[in-house]
Amino acid sequence: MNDPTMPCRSASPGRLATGASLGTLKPSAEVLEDVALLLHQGALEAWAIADREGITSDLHYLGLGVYLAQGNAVALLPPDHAMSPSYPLIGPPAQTHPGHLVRSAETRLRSIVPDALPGLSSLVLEVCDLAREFADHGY
Amino acid sequence: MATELGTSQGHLAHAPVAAPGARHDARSVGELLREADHLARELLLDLSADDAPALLRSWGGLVDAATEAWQAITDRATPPARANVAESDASDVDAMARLRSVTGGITTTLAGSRWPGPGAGAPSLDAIATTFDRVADLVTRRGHDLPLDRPEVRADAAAAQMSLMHTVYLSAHAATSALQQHGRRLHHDSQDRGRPLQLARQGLPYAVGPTRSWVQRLGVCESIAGRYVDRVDGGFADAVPGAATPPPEDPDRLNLALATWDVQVHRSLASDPSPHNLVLACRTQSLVAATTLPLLGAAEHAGRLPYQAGSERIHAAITASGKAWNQMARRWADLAPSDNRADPDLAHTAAQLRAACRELTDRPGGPAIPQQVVATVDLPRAIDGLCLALEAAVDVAHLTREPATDPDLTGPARALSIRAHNDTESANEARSNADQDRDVVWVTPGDVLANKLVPLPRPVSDGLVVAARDAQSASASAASAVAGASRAHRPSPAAGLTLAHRASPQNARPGYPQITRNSPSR
Repeated sequence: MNDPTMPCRSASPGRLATGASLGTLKPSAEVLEDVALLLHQGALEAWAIADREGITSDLHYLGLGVYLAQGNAVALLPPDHAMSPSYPLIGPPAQTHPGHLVRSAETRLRSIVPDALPGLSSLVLEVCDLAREFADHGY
Repeated sequence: MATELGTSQGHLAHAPVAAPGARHDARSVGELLREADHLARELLLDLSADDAPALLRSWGGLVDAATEAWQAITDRATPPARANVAESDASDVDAMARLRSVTGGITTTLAGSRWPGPGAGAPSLDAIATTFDRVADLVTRRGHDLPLDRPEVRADAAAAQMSLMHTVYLSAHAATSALQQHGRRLHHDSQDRGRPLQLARQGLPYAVGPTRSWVQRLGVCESIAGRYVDRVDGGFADAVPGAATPPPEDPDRLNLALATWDVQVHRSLASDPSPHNLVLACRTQSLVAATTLPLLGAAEHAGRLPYQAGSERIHAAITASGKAWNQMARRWADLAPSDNRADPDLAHTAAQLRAACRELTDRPGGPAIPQQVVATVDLPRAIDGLCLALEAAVDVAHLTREPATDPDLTGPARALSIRAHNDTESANEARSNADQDRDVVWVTPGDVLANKLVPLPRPVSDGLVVAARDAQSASASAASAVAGASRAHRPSPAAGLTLAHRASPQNARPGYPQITRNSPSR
């Protein structure tokens, strides 16, 4: 499947073609929207489980980290970008588990080349750290 | 799609493919840089204290390779590779040179340092360095064909350098993270042996022993790379001495984070009690309660609580307050759409507090057991700070009451419909048949389908008010219960200070410089 964030197969000469330039923010915005939605849902799912487990559940502070990352993803969107209405994800537990959603967000972030958005690197780092935290806690 | 290696997408347009029969990497510069990026991300995803020595050994080689690739691009793209030369500044242009300079010092010290000593490097960083070498080679051999008079080509070169620095940034963070974990393990091990290593009094608390200077110096590298890629928060570099130094009178991380949180949450909720801010405030307040419990438990386990009677009551009160905060957070989350965010300052302080709490209660592989907490945490100081925070939570709970009664609140139709239905069902279970709300459509199907923003249905607005009231009540109970868990010399909470009159230092409570409290009526 063609990914609009991938560097185009340019017929024009003279491109290092490292990736999407700053002129292709729109496709990056679509990916960021996906990431924000995944993280939003991940935070809600983490807290839903944590609320059932009790206040000392690890998923409380893990969920808080995911929620903070979602905010940072939203902050990278263009000011005039209108996100699609979001609906809670429905699927088997393995796919709606917060750890899976965070890892999905990390994978999705890979489709934005680092030069496409100032501030993207910090989000990449934050989500990678979160994914590792979830893994460290067995999620 | 992330690794379409081996395709011709994005190839250097004028770079010939490999000569027939030759063993040659046919990937483009873009593909090589993407691979390097992915290698760095994979490293971040699977990192431990054991990686610290190898990462440190390989760091110099990675920066050398990055510098070569960077210079190859710069040499090809003259004038400077930055697309908008007018906006570039000396720090950006010299970033790689500065990085190389700092790394040169690291490498020199490493050669004569006892730790980590000789040994294997990190395959991940070595692979990234090899990939950078390929980039340099490709650009050097083939880049002379680039029509550099074209702005878009120079912009492309700038993008390549951004991608390069991004990978260096991720790699630096990985190295500092591993070193931090290594220091943490050293500290815990030394505690177990009864010969504790002194924690750093400034900056990162687990930059201990032989890792302290490495963490600081790698932190500088991370900061240089991070600033180049436009990161506002320099990560570990922020904790390097001189960048973010705690005040001398309150050097420990937790109490500083709690005090900063207290100021910011009041500020943010007073100026903008948005659903996102309220969700963040509630969940963070719950985290404070959740952090207090294991510390009190550890102190009780070690016989270090100043009281013994009533510990179960205290535990129950704190648990109830945390639960109440979480219940309120759930309700506000219904109104917090995914396309918005909390106040950045509030988010930043919440992140700092989260990290500080985690340091106390978390160990690799899971939560700390009481013996570990006793051995590694300054319990009196930490408990004192947390108890102050639980008392301050009463104020915060008051601040959540007013937004809950706002008649103009709106929220997404779908979430509100579900909440209204659930609340109605719960209410009906407690009522007689005659008083039950039956067949009430709180949100129209059309609005639900479109997930429009709609006013709060009555059950939802009532539920918010009840949740705020419950949080107030539970916070007050917890504050009252923990009053005996604090140090005996602390002044009474009923000091008559009001929140409206902001601090003068002489009114400050110990441990919280320049913070005042609204004394709860009990």
